[in-house]
Amino acid sequence: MEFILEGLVKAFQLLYHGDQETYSAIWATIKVSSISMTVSLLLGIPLGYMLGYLNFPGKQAIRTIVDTLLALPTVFIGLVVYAFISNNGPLGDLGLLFTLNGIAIGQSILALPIVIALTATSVESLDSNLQLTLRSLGASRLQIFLTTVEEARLGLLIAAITATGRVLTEVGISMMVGGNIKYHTRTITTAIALETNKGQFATGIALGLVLLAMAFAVNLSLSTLRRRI
Amino acid sequence: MDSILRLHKVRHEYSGREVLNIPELSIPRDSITGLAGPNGSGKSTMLRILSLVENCSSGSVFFNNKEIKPFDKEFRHQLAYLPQETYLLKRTVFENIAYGLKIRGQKNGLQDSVMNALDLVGLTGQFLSRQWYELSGGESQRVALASRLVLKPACLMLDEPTASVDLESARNISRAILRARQEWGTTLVVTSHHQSWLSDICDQSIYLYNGRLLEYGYRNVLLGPWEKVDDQLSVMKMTDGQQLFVSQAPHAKSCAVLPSHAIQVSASSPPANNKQKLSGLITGIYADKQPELLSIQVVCGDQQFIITMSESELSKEGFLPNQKVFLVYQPQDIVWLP
Repeated sequence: MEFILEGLVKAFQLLYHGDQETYSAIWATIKVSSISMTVSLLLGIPLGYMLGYLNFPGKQAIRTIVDTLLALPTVFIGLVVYAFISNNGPLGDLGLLFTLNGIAIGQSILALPIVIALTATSVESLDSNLQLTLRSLGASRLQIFLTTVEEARLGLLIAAITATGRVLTEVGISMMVGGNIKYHTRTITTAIALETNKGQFATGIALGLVLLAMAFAVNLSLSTLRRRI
Repeated sequence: MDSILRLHKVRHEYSGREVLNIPELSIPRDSITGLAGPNGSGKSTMLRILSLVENCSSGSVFFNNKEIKPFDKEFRHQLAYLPQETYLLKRTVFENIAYGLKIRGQKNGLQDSVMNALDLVGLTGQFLSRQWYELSGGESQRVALASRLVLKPACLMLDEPTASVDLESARNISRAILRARQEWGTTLVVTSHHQSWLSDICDQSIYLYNGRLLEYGYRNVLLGPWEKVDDQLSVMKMTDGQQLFVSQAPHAKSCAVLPSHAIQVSASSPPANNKQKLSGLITGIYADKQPELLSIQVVCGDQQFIITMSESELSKEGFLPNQKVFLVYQPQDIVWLP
């Protein structure tokens, strides 16, 4: 119990004194999760919309695959991304191994099925009269897409919150693809794992609390947005 | 006749089942056309095809003599359609009504246009900031109509606009429809189960049955089910316990018409002879589309009959609304529809 209290005190000390290592991990986490969330939302919302809105042969099979990918283990994604971007891999020349962009690729793969599946569910659950109404008012295909996305905004917000939570808290991809390099690719979760392995529970707990505060801040801002829309 | 919309050899099917087959139909410009028929007769499908919301399986739709298809940029802004189950966007009343104008690129004068449309449907400016969930069923229907009227479309298709609304809303909707035609010459096609409302508001009516146009107008259609009495007669049991005898029905779900001219109306019970009689209540007397003729609407159980007679005949008989009368007809006068 003592080390937990010690961790709480240390958390405030690290943040208050502007500990460089802690802030580096925080910025790395914010940067990498922002990139991966932007990519997964930009790709996932249109794909999820198409999956929920259109009827085409093989739709059910694709839906099953997307739902299966929701349970993808992060170490497996890390392994696959590592294989592709390592020096011997097909994308080895891009120099993405042990970079934040490399981690962002893995995290985007992690978040994408979540955004696609929840967007598709959200679009499917919209009133079937919405499309009829938009067409009856003379909307073009693009206007129908944009308005449908707007009508499904609560569902999309939930998709974004869920995916952000998963991206913020994953360890496997950051560890395998990023390499946990101090001041470079060390994120909060990989720093916690390292500090715990070193027996530095207080630092681990301090970073854990920071991660918790970040997750809280993200959820608070999104739920504020939810109340407004 | 100058037609604004025309259907040519239009067929439509769902999962291989034909739901609409219209060889030729023209909608006159600046007219209000009523579309009547039982549930499943193809009224809504026809409206969706006419308004470019749905593409027909085969055939052509012409607007101002040009063939049109769904999403045609040139024409989709000239047609509007109000579905039977209206849907309001999850926004304020203002945003709902202004939506169609915004997607047409209008940025100025939105407030005035929206206010005018609200006024047309009998709602005040207090509704502008209300959210979609703060409206009653009748108010939602009127807001949905306002969001179409604000577009001042050349053609407006309305699917059961007065279904499930109160009397005041229905009156406001009727008024708005008539003003739309009067103020900017909108051509309207309206479906309704209320035949009296349709005949009151429309210049012409079309009756659909099983996806096909009936040539006998929309009056006195009998949908069965029929039970065989003997080799010559079939009978339809009505909700008030009366029996409507007809010449032998081709099958139990055949559709028939009892032509208006084959029905006699009598204030007293006629003597028993080879004719059939039904008792009913006069629910309305209207001016007929044909000059100097009046339409008497008589309800027997759940069946409505419309009988035309001249003004002199009516005043001679002294028929009044809410009066009990007898309808007399010959079973062999029934016309069975194919």
